[in-house]
Amino acid sequence: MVGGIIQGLIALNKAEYVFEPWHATLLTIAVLTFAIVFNTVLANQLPMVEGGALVIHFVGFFAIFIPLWVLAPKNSTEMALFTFTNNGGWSSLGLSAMIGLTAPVSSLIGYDCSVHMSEELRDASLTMPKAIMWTVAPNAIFGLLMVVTLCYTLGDAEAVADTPTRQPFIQLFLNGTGSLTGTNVMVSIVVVCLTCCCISEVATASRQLWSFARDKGLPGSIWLMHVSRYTTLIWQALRDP
Amino acid sequence: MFTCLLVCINLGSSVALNAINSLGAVSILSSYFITISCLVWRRLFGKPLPPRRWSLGRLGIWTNIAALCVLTPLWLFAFWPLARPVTPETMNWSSALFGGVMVLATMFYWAYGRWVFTGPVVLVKRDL
Repeated sequence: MVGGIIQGLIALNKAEYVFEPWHATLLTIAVLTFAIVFNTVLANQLPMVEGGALVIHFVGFFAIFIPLWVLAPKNSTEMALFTFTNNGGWSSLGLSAMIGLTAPVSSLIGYDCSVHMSEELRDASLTMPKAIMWTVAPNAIFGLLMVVTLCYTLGDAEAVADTPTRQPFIQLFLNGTGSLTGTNVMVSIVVVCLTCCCISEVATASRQLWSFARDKGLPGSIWLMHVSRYTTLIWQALRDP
Repeated sequence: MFTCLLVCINLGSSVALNAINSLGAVSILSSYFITISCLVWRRLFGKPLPPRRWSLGRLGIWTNIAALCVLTPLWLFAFWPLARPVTPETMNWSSALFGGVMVLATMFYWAYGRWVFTGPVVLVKRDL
C-alpha cells in the first residue's frame, strides 16, 4: 500500500511518470527494509517509535480533517450521504454495498495484533484489554469523522476514481485544497503513518511467528524459534515476518 | 524475506498480489471467528472459562454473539469479486488461496503437527 501511495505522489508531481509494477515492488521492499532495521538494529527505540506514531496519527488526523472542511467545495447533504451508486454490475444496490464492505473491513481488523506483544508487557492481563479498548474507541470515532468528511468533499466520484495518480484520495485532496504543496504534505502524513504501521506490523508478526514456532506449529520451527544469545532478538523470525 | 518474495509476485501479475492481499483479510476474519466461537461454546456448553482479571461480566456472551453475527457476512462477502462480468483478471482468487492453504495446513497437522504441537494455554501459569 505504501509503495502504491508513493508512486501516486510521484505521479502527482511529475505529469509524465509511467507506472511500472517493478517500481511498486522496489518501493515496498525499501519500506520493508526500513521496518526491519527499526525492529532489529534500533529495537530499543521501538517504544519511542510507537509513542511518536501515536502523536503523528493524532495530530495528522486534524491536519487533514481541518483543511478539507475549510477549503474544499462541499456536496449537498443529500448527495453526500444519501446517494448510492452501483458500478460493479451486481444485481442490486444492497448486494453491491455488502461486497463493498470488504474495503472498510481493513480498518476493523488488526486490533488483536497488540496481543502478540503481550509477552513483553508488564501486567499484561490488565494492560492489554485496556490498550485494545483505548485503540478501538478513538479509532472508530476518527474513522467515522474522516469517512463523513470524504463523502462531503468527494465532488464527482467517477472523475476522482479516474485519477492519473491511481490513488483516488490524492485526487480528492488536490481537488479539495487546490494546492499542490498542501496535497503533498497531507499525503506525506498518510505515508508516514502507514510506515509506522509497517514497523508495528513487522514487530507483531515476528513475535507471532516466533511463539507459534516455539510451540512447534510450523514447518521449520526449530530454525525459527532461535533467540540470539547476545541481543535477545529473534533474528530468524524477524527476517521472515 | 517472505514478504519481499510475495511483493515480487507483483512483477509477474497484479491479480495474484490482489488475491494475496484479500487473503489477509479473510484469514484474520477466520481466526477471529474460530476464537470467538470457542468462547461462545465454552460459555454455553462447557467448563467455566479460565480465571481473568478484567471482564465484561454478563455482557460477555452477548458481545461474543454480536461479534459472530457481524463477522459471518463480512467473511462471506470478502471472497466475492468486485465487479461483474467476472473474468480471470477480475476474479477474487482469495477463495482458491484460502482453500489451498487450509488443505496444506490440515495435511501438515495430520502428518507432523499433532505429534509435536503443544497449545500455549497448556503452558501458561495463571497468577492472579
